[in-house]
Amino acid sequence: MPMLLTLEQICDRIVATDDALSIVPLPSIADLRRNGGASLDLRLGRWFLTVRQSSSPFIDVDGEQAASVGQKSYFVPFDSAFYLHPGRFVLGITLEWLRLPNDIASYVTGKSSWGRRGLIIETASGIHPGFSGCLALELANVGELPIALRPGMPICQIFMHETATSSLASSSFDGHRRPVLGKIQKDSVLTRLSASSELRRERRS
Amino acid sequence: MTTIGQEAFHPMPPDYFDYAYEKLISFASQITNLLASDFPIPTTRRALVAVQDIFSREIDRITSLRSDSTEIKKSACANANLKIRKFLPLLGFVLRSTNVRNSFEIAEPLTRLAKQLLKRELTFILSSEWDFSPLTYNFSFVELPDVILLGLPSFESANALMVPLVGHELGHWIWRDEDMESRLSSRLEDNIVNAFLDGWSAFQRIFGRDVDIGDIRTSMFAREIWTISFADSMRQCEEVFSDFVGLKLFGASYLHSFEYLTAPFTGEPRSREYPDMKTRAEFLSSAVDFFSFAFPSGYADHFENSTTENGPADRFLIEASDAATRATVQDLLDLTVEISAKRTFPSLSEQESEFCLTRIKSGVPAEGVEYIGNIINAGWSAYRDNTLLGPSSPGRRRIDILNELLLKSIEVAEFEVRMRDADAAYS
Repeated sequence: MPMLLTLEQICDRIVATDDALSIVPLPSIADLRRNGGASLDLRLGRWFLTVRQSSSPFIDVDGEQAASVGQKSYFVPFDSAFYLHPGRFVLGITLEWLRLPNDIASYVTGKSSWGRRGLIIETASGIHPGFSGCLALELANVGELPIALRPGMPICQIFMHETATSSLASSSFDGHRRPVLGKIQKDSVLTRLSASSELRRERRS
Repeated sequence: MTTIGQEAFHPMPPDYFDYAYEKLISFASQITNLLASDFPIPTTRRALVAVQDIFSREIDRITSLRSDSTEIKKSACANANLKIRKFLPLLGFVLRSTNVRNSFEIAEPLTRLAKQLLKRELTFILSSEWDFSPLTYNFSFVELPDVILLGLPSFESANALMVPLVGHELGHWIWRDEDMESRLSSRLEDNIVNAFLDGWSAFQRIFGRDVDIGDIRTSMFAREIWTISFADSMRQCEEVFSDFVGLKLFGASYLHSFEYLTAPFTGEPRSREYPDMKTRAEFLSSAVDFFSFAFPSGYADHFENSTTENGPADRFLIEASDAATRATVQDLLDLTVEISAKRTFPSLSEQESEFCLTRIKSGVPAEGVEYIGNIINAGWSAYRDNTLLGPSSPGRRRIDILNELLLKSIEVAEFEVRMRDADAAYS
């Protein structure tokens, strides 16, 4: 039966000799075991990415335009901050590099202490078995005051589930250390829907 | 301090003095604009503020000379032009240092390495060059004696595998700090004189003067010529020494990065101040043996010498300086060993490098690594093993995948150093 792992069980998997579950840099295992609970805090990394304001009227999944969105990266030193103003959105990244084994899926969520102050951490939160890389964080400030995002601060938490069977959903070498927008994959259903509309128009004419 | 718009009205049309003043004000405005940039590495801003101070003083100086004699004003204006000419590339360099193409993760470890080797507080500015060769401006800015400006070629400035080339640039700084020219001068003079003596009849024929062979050191004519080769050879020795420092600091990865960027040769015409590429590779091969590094033989075979079509006089001078440099290589090797011990070069660890490689193989960055050189050596081992990291795809090359793992490993090492420093300070 698939189950949610406790922090104690997560620690056991991290220190297991098979080395399949990795978190780098590794938090203090002793501290984690002391903390208890079922989630593991991750810290904010130093790279940020924003989408530039541009003359493009919109982002549309249909066509090349989605891929060519202008973007700007920022590197923020450890003793400095990125200030996220109310109503603004930025992609961040976890300091930790996470690698999941084939039998663990995970999801990332915000920390309530930040959520209550208006910082939304993540909307696409699922992490597949076999994932390897730093986690991109979709940070939005829906609060009233600017928020200083300091590299190294605890920013999110992850929960882990064992899967019923092993499943490797992604390559171990896909990981990034900086946030990237990623590709919007072409969707076959959407393509067929467009094609069918085109056909109907042709028939009518 | 003078600000725009405060200059006194005077009825004469503007002349070179006013022009110089205007140019200084424009230059200072450029600096002000640049200071408003996002600086990923905060020390860069401090260096720019130092330049701003230099130009504020220059503006004050020019302003104070308005009613001075023509000669003094002319000299001051020429000096202002010179300052602008000299510092303009630095502004471009600083601007490029804010570009996120650079891998900023390497800045702090390299600053720490530079401080360890040069034994003083330094500001290290990491940037990128629109130039094929890595560059350090160390000698150009006597006004900024403790600012190291290092630019990797822009198209490779993100590539962690190029980090060992920084070792060569640090070698130039050590060369200056150790006053190597004075230390080598007499030995190199002997070697140059010997090279001239070996080709004495050719020298007489090419330069058309009958000098007695016994007067080679005292004849004004002969001295004037062999000092040209002496100066060239001294510059060559500096390059060779800097290569040895790079090799000593980074081991095999220095050889790989040097080959990556320059082999078989750079396509430039032969410079008298640099040994030829194949020759440099041969010197590096002898250093590999001398430092007892493990590296496959045949390294120099990957390089070619540049083709040059010089006249007989130039050819003679180059051959003499090449011969003198070759005769000085053992001295340079001995000095590298002596200096590396004195300046406590970090030790490369095969064990640490192996550990990093194991982590890279499983697609995870390494933690607990003491020295960036070990991470980069593991990176080169992984890159040169085609069975690792999966095949390149159109969207992502093996080298990109590796770069992420190397730079994250470097960042993790930096994080760990900061944790240790803080624990030590508060314990």
